[in-house]
This record gives sequence, structure tokens and C-alpha cells, in this order.
Amino acid sequence: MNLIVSMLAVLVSSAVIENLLFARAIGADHILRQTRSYRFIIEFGLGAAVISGVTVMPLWWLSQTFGRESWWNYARSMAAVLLIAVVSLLLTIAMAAAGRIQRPMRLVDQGAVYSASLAIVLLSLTAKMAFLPSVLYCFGASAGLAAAMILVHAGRERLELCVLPRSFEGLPITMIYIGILSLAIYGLIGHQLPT
Amino acid sequence: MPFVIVPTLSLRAGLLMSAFLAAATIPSAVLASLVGRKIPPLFSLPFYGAVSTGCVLLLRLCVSGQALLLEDLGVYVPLAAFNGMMLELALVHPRRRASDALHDAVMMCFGFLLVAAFLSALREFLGSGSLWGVPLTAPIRIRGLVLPFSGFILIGFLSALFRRVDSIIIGRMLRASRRTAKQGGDAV
Repeated sequence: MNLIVSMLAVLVSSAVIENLLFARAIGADHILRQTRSYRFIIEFGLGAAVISGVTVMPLWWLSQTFGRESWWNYARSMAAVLLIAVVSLLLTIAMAAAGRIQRPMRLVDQGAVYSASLAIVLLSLTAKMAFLPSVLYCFGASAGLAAAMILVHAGRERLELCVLPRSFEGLPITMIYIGILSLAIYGLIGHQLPT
Repeated sequence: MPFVIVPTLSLRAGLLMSAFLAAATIPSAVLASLVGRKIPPLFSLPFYGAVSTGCVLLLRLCVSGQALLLEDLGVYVPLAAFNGMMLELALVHPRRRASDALHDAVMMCFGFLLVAAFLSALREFLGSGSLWGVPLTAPIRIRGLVLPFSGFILIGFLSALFRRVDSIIIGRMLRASRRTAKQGGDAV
């Protein structure tokens, strides 16, 4: 029972409390410029979950082995980038072989998935958790990021129908909207504004 | 976008983040203009990602004396390798000539530096009551400015302000050119 509760805590923490978009602004530029549909956001979240979840496994073992070495701080980032590249390529080849790719993902979208996966993997390793929580953190963070992107995309669709001053149309009002959502979640978690 | 919203809590952090972004963007952009066409699209992202990560880590090694500042920047240092400017200049629209790539990359990084310096100085001065680590007496203290949500809101208002200024300048230029054209027509 304790194990289930602690796993749920990791999932909720990674998805809500440390939400990548609202707490760290990761994925913000992609949601503002590239996102076209809810289907794309779900594919983005699934891609980040699979790539980061698989990548964190060997990296977790490497961190346990070399974590105390001073050079590992540098090697960890490079190892994460290379492993993400390998996992991503294998995933693309496997999906192409299974006939699941209707059209290849644009390079800029691939870059966003790489970037989100790298952030999730590095945050998971920095938290110095056990193996299973590390993997669960990756799934939770990816789900949280996708949910936040859906929330922002829905907000953008509604904001486009509103009459706004011309200077605020598009990026500025979306940034203010994300800021207000971020503030709401910050308060919801129980933080208080510094006085 | 995340690099200007979250880590720009002090002027030093803002400038160091700009340096990391430049270290990731400029070599990749120049390399893409030189060898971009020889790399298959499937491998271009891992290739430029590895190159820019290498450059970022090299810079991190050079500034390893700034341990506290690097700790504050945290995960954003390795993430700088996949910033939007690098993706744009190396993958989406690589320039044909190395000089064009260098020019565009430097100008983009300079633009980022200006915004990051302004925003980080504002947040440090009003949020923490200091500038470049030197304590100063700020007219007001808004401690919430050091939190992530204020980064989003500040960028939103700053962007709207720049758009407004831009539209005013363009409007004046249009009016001036119309006036000139009208005077020329009258003279004829």
C-alpha cells in the first residue's frame, strides 16, 4: 500500500506540482508557435513519455555507477542527448516498420520532443530517486506537460474569438494567460506569495 | 522562450544564459550552412544536438568557477543546446552561406541578450533589491517577480509594448512616405 501511495505521489508531483510548462516554462515556445491540434499534443506527450521513460533507465544505472565522479556532471548531459537520439531513431524505425507513420514529424517538432525529453530525463536524474519512481516521474511529467499544453491550446482558441487590443493579440495575451494559470496552480499547491 | 522566463532572476544569470545560448546557436548555424546538405534529415537533429551540447558543455567547463550561478541555471544549461534559435538556423531554415549564418545567429543571440538583460535586471532590482549582486534601495519591492509566473506576465506585457511601439513607428513612416509622395505629385 505504501508503495502505491508513494508512486502516486511521484506521479502527481511530476504532473501537477512540478508541471514542466507552468513551473519551468518548458514547451512554452512550442505551444506558442507550432501547436496545431489536440491530436498533435497527445502525440507529442506520448513521444516524450516513451523516449524519456526508456532513456532514463540506462541513465539511472549510469548515474548510480558514476554519480560521484566529477566528470559525470558533464558526461550526463551528453549521454542523455545521445541516448535520446538513439531511442528516438529506434522508435521512428519501429513505427515506420509497423506502418504507423502517415507522414514524418517536422524537424522543429522533433526538436521540441527532444528538448522536452531531455528536460524530463535530467530533472528525473537530478531528483536522485529510486529506479521505479524515476521512470514514473518521466511518465507523469510527460502527461502533465501534455495536459498543460491542451489547457493552453484550448485557451488560445477561445482568446482568438475575443476582441482584444491589437498589441495584445497572439503571443502577448497567451503569455499573460499562461502566467495567470501558473499563478493559480502556484496558489493551488499551497504556496503563498512572498511578502 | 523558457530561457528568458525562468532562469533570468539576476543580471548575471541572464547574461550567462545568453552566453550559453550563443555557444549552442552560433557553431551549429555555421556548421549547418557548411555541411547541412550532406547530412540526411533523419540524423540532422542528433548531429546538431550533439554539436551544440558539446559547445555548451565546453563553455560550462570554462565558467565552472561560477558554481552557484550554474546551480541556479540548473537544467536550463544543457537544455540551451536545443533552443529555438538553434533549431531555426540549423534545421528549419539553414542559411546557404556561412557569413549569412554567422550574421543571423549573432544578431538573434544579441536580440536575446538585450531582452534577457533588461528582464533580469528588472527582476533582480525590484524582486531582490540588488543589481549585479550589489544591494540597492529599490523604490518598491515586488518579491513575486522572482517567481516563474511573473516571467510569463512580464514577457507578455513587454511583447505587447514592443508591438505597440513598432506599429507607431511603422505608422509614422507610412504617413511620412505618403506625404512625400503627395508633395512629389503636386510638384509634377
